[in-house]
Amino acid sequence: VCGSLFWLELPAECELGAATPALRAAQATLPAAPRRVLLVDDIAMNRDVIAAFLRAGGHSVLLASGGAEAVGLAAADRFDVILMDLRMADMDGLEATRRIRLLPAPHGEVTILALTAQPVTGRETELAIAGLDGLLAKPVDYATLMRAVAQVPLLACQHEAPDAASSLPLFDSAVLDQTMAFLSAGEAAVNLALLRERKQELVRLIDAQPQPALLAETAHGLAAAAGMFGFIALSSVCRRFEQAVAANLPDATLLAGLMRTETENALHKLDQVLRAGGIGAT
Amino acid sequence: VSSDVQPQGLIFGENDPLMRGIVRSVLLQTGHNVFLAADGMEAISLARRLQARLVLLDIGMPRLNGMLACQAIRKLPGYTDVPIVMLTGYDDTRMRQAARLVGADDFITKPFRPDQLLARLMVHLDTPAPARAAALTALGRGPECPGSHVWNTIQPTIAGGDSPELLSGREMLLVLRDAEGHS
Repeated sequence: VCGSLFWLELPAECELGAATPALRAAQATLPAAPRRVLLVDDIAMNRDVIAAFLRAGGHSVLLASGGAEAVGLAAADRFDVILMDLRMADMDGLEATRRIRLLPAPHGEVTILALTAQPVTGRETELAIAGLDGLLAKPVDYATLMRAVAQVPLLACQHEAPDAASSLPLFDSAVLDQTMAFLSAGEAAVNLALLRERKQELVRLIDAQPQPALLAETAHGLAAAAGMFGFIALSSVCRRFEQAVAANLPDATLLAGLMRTETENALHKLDQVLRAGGIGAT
Repeated sequence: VSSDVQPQGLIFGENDPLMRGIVRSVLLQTGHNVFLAADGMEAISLARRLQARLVLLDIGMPRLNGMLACQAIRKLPGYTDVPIVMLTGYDDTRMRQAARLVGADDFITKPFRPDQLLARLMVHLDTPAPARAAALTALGRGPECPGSHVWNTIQPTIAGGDSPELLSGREMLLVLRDAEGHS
């Protein structure tokens, strides 16, 4: 079935959603906004043909000739979509997809479509669990390729990378107010006291230098709670630490130090808030 | 408890008391009763005893995680069409995909804006299933707030109407191994 296309899923939020087949067809005939594509195939001829199609359709294309190279490029750069050959000599497409999915956001969230000449019937769940979003049968024709790429959400739909925590505000009182609006005065006092304990616990834990996984678990909880109460930089650095530990990245140690500093800053700020608001007697 | 007078309400499974308190306050704003569970087993047990209008589940819970709880609750009688929403600090793509595979309808990451959580839950509660995906899309992510995003990434489950394929035991092990790797 040359050129047939089916979707396993499209895990990005700006997709067509409830669009009817007719609406989809109508949208597919419109010229697509240019996408940034990473094309991964270990056979040069396949790369050349598909890259020529993509460029003819107005898209920009970067090429990788193997799975490991693709993971490196996906970690260093951002793409709207990765077209991934499944069967490759060095690292196959499924393994490369699994590794890309472990990259911190937004790199790990890129849409990945498999390009394959082999039948995959019965393997759909395995492919979805590896992190593939959809499948294109090879050889792929121009129209099918254009339709598939046009359906991929644009980068603009994705969230920005939580880059340097220092660029984020220590504290955002609007966020605190948002949450406080849902709490009674009593609940607010209890919750802020709990948050204060959590922060102190994290500092103690960092100083005790536990297993990274244990520290990541505590950071995971604090990322949510601190974020809810407006401690933006702390929430962000906790999340980055957790992701670094999960992906086994070498900068986890550095981030632990940064996390300690941000926790101290956040504790200081929280005490100011408590004093100013007269909430909670600590 | 007689089965034809089952109490109604919302079930919320979360092991972190801090988050449980905040979310409970948000859930009460929907006007429904709120039933709290501290882990996945308790959430399933609550779902067996009452016909919930909506189930909200954290993923990283002790005893039984939210993914497995979701899969189990989805199979209970009366829960085929009940919205199940995952509320979690795990925001990687594979978690979202796994959530869809176990039958969840929506995926919201922590930290979130309470007003946006409330707005999304109201859509799930008040909009008939066929129109839900469009309503959620229209809701969007709301105003940007650094470090505080509400995500929605698994609409097709609602839009398509076809029930997602449930994971086999072996596949679930893969998902769980993954979840452990993240905690």
